[in-house]
Amino acid sequence: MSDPRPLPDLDPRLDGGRSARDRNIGSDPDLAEVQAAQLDRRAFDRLYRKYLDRVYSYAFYQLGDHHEAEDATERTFLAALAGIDAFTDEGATFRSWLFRIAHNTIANAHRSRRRRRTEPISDAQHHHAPGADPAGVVARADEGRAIREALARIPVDRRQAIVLRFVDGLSAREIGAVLDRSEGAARVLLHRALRDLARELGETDEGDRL
Amino acid sequence: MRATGCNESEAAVFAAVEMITRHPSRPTDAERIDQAVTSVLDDQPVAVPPGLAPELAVARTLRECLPPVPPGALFEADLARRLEASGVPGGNRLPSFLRHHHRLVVTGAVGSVVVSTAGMAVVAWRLVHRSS
Repeated sequence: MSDPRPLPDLDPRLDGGRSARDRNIGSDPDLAEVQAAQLDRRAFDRLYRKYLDRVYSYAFYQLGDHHEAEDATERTFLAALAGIDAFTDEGATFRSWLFRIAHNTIANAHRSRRRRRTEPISDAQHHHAPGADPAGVVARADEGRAIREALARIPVDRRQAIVLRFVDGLSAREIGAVLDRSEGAARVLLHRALRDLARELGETDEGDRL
Repeated sequence: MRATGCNESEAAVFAAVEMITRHPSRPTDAERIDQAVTSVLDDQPVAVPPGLAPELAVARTLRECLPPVPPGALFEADLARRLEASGVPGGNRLPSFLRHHHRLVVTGAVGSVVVSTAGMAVVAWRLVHRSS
């Protein structure tokens, strides 16, 4: 790979000026697999299979292009494999560490390409159960399109928080670790993002669809 | 409830206790909606937090309409190979024909068929010409 673009800024311990106690996130479900990968690189394959879809989704929802998402995903996993020895179980979970790398990779992609997308997530696929009600499928597709368009109009950091929470399943504390914010700040970011989307979609407090 | 007959530090403690008693800590809107979102993501029943119905409605829609986007199978397999090569010492320095051993197998099989066919053609030609 002779691409001259810079690799992401690796920050394996997610220090950010915070103490280990501040960064305490609890038990890491991936710790055994991480330790196996630190002993034998071939064991990294299990982590790769586990997180490929999530990292790719995060990149795709941010960059809006499958080729760019593939490039960011590839850089993320290669950097993670190269830096796996630096990961220590000092609070940050492996997945927040991995998504921090993805976050930096995507930020580099945005910077190096010098463009902002406003319609990045219009062609996300939606999978429907076989035999699903066609009318319901159409209505849900319309709803999905509307919310993806609304998501593209909100500030980038709020969109990142939404994707990390709803697509990748990260907790507020893990989102804070990825975005270099406190847990409370991540919660506020999520709340503001949901409020923005509600405004974009015309949701009101009087709606009875709740 | 200003304490009398005590020094300034004790008064400050009384004031702090009074403030805490009067304004017990309550979860913020951000904390309440985060708890509700966790329930939504876990498919658990959730009561609508007062004043946060629009946000919860959006959370439910996001849960349904923001699917993971899987990458292509070719990309997945190619990146797996790259990672495997990166993880093995010297893996990236292997010659191309060894990194793509399936090509070597196919080339060998095709070559073998070509040589066999040519040999059979030569033998057949010689038999025909010897008999004539």
